[in-house]
Amino acid sequence: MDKRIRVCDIEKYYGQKDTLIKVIDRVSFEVEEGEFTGIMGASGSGKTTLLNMLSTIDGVTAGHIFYDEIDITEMAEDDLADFRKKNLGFIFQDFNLLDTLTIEENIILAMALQKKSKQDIAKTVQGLVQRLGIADILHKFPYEVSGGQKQRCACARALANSPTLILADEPTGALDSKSSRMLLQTFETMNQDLHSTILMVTHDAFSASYCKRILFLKDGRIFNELHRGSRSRKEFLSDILDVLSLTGGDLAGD
Amino acid sequence: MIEKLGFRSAKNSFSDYLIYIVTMAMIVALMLSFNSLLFSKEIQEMSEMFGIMSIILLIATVFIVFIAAWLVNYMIVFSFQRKSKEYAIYMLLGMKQREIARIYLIENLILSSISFLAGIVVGLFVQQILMTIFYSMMNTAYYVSIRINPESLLLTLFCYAVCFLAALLFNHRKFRRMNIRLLMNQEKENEQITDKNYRLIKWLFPVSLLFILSFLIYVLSDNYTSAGIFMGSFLSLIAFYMFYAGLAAELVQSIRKRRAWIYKGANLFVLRQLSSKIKTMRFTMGTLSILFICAFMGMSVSMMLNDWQNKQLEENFPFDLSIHHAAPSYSFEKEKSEIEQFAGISDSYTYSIYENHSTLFNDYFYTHLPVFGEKYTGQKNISPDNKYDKKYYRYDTFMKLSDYNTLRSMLGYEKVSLAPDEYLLQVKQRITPYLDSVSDLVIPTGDGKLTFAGYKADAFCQNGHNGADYLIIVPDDAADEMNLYYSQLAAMTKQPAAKELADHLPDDEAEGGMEAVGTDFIMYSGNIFIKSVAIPDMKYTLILLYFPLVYIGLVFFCTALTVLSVQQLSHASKYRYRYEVLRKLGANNREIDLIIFKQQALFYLCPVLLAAVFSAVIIYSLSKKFIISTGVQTRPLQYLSISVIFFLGIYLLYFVATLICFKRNVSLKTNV
Repeated sequence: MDKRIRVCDIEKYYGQKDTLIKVIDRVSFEVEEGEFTGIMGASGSGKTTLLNMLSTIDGVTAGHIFYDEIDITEMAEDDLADFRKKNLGFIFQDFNLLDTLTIEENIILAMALQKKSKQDIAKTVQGLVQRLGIADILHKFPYEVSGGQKQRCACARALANSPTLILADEPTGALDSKSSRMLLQTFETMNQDLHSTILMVTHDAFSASYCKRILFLKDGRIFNELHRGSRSRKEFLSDILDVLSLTGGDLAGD
Repeated sequence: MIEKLGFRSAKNSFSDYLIYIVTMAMIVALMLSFNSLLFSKEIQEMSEMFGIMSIILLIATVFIVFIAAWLVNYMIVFSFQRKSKEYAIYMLLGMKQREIARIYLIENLILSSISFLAGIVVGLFVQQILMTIFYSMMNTAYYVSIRINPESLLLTLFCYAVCFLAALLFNHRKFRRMNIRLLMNQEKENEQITDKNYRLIKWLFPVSLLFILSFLIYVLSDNYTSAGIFMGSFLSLIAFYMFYAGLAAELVQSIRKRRAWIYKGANLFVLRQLSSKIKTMRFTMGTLSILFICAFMGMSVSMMLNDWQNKQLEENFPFDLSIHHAAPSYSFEKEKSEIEQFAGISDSYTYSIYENHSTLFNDYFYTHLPVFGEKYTGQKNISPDNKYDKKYYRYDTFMKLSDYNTLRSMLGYEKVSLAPDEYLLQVKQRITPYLDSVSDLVIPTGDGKLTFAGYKADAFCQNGHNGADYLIIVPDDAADEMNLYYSQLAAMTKQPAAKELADHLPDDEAEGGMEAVGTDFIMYSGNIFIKSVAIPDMKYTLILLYFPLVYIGLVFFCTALTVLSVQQLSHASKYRYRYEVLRKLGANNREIDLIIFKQQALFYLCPVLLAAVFSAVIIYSLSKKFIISTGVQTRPLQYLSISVIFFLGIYLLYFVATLICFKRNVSLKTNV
């Protein structure tokens, strides 16, 4: 397996001289192709900042992030937009669907922006919606469907351009437990059948238990790492809860 | 606390509604400057027609107040919807309806006072520009003096207050019925996204478009009747409203059919934004189109009048003085002594016009000029039965060659000569295209006949004085056989005659009134033409007509543009979110800029495009009529293109301002 993403010693500061806050403090890790990685931590631990830097939405203060051999911390804004378009897929807590477009059109637009042909687009959309079970709501608008369906539409959109990495920021945050479970199973399918590389930020231990590996963040540093290995999901969940108890068990925290 | 909230709310709205505030300020400025025309002492003294001018300006002001009230009402409803969630929270916290209404009132009071004060300041300058234009049109020097006329200020304040009070009263019930659940939901209602029930609506688009197009073809055909035009215009208004309801459906249909261009770049995004916006605003869009049409029409018509004034007026008054008397041989002794006393005579000539009891030429013009259309086709001896239409004299009008040459030399034209059996036509320039078969006309005389030798179209005072539209010049012998018809005096004066002269000259309508005045569309008629009095009077009358037209046109146009701008600039957070999503999907800054431009341009073009085509056709047809009836040598499209260029400037100004603000709005939080 190739080493796809290397995060080297990155730091992130916010604020001015007197009010300087260190949000990320010398974090380094690697993500392999086809991995399903989770990042856990309490609020304010820096997990969303880390995700934003990985997703090129925010710049680093120091350090480097390599996708294969490309260092995205050195790229110009226009190149970054291109990079995002070709390599990244996003799934957010609040879905980020366009309310004026139907479910199908939301997926089409992501591909149309990449100048793909009509035939290509139609074919991909068909395949994706079948796989994600949203074929019967294609012509509905986001406000007409449930949160779980919206999030699956967001998944389809993230997958549409076969990205190198899918970044998910608290994807189950706005979903009920049934929809959450369905979505996480979708993630598993995406990871196992489509070999998508997924990086998911969450503070929910149940969601995290679907990952293959979990990085625990505290005060901007990685303080622990768990691999699922051959353990069952339930065993992995109890391990996660053990680690969490070390941090005081309170992830919803401050 | 309530005051503080209202004040803060006004501060927050200020930048969102800047374009609205600027437009209201501009309306105030225009209102103030036109009102100051109304109350200007100098202008009151300048002409007797001042009374009519004030009535016309007041009517224009009523229109303006009406449209401004509509704009204010629109903004009140709009900002209420926008703020509804905020008000719902206030209510949840236990605030009373009355207190919320007060917050709202304070906010509106602050914003409207700002625009009023700004308007007054700008108005002082606009007033000077307007006065300068007015005086230069009247050929009088104007000295700039900035001062506020209390009456015009009060009238402006009154009109402005009426706009607001009307709008606030209109929305009073809205406050009384405030309900937390409704308020919470109202913000969501701003844009309608559903696309159901299109089976019926989709017919609106082709049907209304077809109707408008066929009406335009009807207008272009030149075979229209006024009833047809009236009905057609009325139905077109309805069709405009239907058009926008249908257009939104049509756009959604084409998106649904997944045509190939949907798959290109951000087309899908742009079209969906546009269609939901048009759908929400379908009624407003119709109104905006109609405002644009009014603006285009008003401007073009005033352009026509101005052009006529510049080109034709001088031509109608070649002599400094021309006096008509119905008696066959009148001496004009009294008139001459008055003129000598008031202006000094440098040259004068008394002469008679002749007739031979025939209507040969009258019949020709009644049947050949487009002004009369098909009304008299195939008829003979028309004029004696039409003494009330005052177009032509009862009989054809003739002049002696020697008189003609004397008058020509007074005007500095070359003399002409005629063979004993020839006649010459002296006509208005406008008549010349219709003289093709006039050469067939033969005038019988005692011992033979006169044949056509040609025509002259020099300016010759032909609105009833030297004939109506035309005059037949015959050799002196031939004229001697005819009857004397009426008398004329033409004079050149040493200095321009003042108004007092007109008051001293006898003008006995009962005894000496004119029988005919010719077929000019706009004219100055009377027994006495004094160039130095008539031209300013005529100009004044025209200014009366076209100043209010420009005034209304400008206000309508800016009102329409403001509604468009405000629609785009509010809901900044909603748009920012949408463009954020596009950015996350990988659209770079250049692409985002292009998408914003496309969205804005389409939205801005939407109400103006059809309105422009519609008014273009109507104005083209109107200009053709105008040129036929006034003889102004202009291409029909000239009026239209000038007003289009003028409005395009204002339009671009609003468009660019909106675009810049919009970009600033949606790029507020991007730190990528």
